[in-house]
Amino acid sequence: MSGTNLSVFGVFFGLAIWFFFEPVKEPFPRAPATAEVSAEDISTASRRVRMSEPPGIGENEFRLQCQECHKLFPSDRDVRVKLSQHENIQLNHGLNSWCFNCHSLEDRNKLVIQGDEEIGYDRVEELCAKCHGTVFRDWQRGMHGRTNGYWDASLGESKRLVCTECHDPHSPAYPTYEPLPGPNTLRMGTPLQSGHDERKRNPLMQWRGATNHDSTQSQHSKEQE
Amino acid sequence: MTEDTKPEFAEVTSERSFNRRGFLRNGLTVVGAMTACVGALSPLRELDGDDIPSVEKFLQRHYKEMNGDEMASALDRIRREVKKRWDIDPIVRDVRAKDGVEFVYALNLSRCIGCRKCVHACVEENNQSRSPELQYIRVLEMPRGTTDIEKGNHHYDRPTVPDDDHFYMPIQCHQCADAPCVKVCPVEATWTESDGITVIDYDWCIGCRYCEAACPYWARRFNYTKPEIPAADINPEMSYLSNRPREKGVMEKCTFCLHRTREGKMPACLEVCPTGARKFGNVLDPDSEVSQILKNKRVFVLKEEVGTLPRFFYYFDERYPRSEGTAEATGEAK
Repeated sequence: MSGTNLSVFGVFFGLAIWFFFEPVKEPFPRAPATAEVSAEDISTASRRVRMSEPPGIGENEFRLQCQECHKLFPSDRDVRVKLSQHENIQLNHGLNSWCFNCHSLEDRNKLVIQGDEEIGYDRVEELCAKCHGTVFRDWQRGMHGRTNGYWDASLGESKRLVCTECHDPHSPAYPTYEPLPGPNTLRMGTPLQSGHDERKRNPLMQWRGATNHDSTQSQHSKEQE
Repeated sequence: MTEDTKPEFAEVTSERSFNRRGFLRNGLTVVGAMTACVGALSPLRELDGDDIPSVEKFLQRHYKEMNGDEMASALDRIRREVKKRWDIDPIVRDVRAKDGVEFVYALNLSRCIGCRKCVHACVEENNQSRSPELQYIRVLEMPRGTTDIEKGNHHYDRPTVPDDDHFYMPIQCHQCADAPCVKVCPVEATWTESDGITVIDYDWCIGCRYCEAACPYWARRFNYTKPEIPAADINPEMSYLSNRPREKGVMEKCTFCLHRTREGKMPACLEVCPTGARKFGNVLDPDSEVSQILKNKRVFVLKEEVGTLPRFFYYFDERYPRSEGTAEATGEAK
């Protein structure tokens, strides 16, 4: 009897010491934190600033509109000689590679649309619609392009961005972006899983044939390993 | 004979039960047991006072059952809690659904470039936990020829996006009209509002995670630990059903930014989208952008076969590969 009592006491007392002097545990290790992004990275501003006024060169009182010089000498519609003043204009607009497809031959402050009708820079979307009719139709209905602000026009301004607020008219293809950091959780699968070659089992990949993409793909999977 | 021996026996017994050795032995056992009890309870030292709900919060009623005064005091309690934890004065409101509004989201997969701006703008807007990470939107890099999200890659890390051989599919809560997450909730802590948004009463949620298991889109996220948000990153514009700070052990998910959208604004993910791939609006208005898209574009929903009737639609435009129509094709432009 006494032996049982003593051993029960010993077990209890040992447990008491163990519980009491067991150090406070470190907090459970946390999953990695969300990568921080800067405020500019998630800015809601448009990609480009709309050019509503005719372009020009110089600053302040030395500001000269294109037309102020261009009115002094005629331009040839069919000659494409790049002047030193136009070095910064990189025209990369597909088949639309003639300046005077869009710019007025007589008045550089104007753009020209169908039937030689001249319009100001504030109506640029009508110029784009000259060729991109289906996209223009989608844009009019809000199916193409950005609409920011309010969806309910009775509560606030709904701002539909025009073509040139996203696209550079001289090089309209939308640029590539550096992606913001990806997820930090393994619940979305491990990064290594993405190293597989999709081309082998996807017949839709084959139409592209061997492109320079091959090298970037293998390089990419090496980096992941 | 028995009368003679009985008292003797009793005397001996009483002598034995109160002897010095027995007293010490039993006393030590009791003391040891009590010490062990105290020791066993000692892990309570680590309990954070914030883990215990206040009486006020414990007695708070379900969102739908609260009257105006009760809601006002609940909002005031949230305000005090935020002030105590982050030392900022938030604007906490209860933004109700409007009549004649049903929200629909449309996402143009031809225009999405996979830049993940929406993911991070959402985290910023909705006070999601930064540590551990919790994000409502996930962006999948999909190989051409499939919409099977199991074949997508979340962890793409290219120098630039988009990649020519992939398209990008962001997934968030689809605000289903027949939402499985609502059906499985054992305490009705989640429900679909009249404008189509499925919401959660974070104070009513018991954290059973049935809804997370029921959701075919994995749109719901669980707070396994106390959400950590730096004070500088807190968005002080809060609402009860959307972006107020959550506790450990509750579920959360995308609410189409209802604190913004119910007041006519666009959701944060749409505002930040650089390409205009995201479209949002009232489907009951036939001239709204989303109505036009549903009418004119070829839209589809994800996992149509599970019958959840999502209010989140995907669509494509025609898009030509990026390598065509560039400098090589039109070299004469130089």
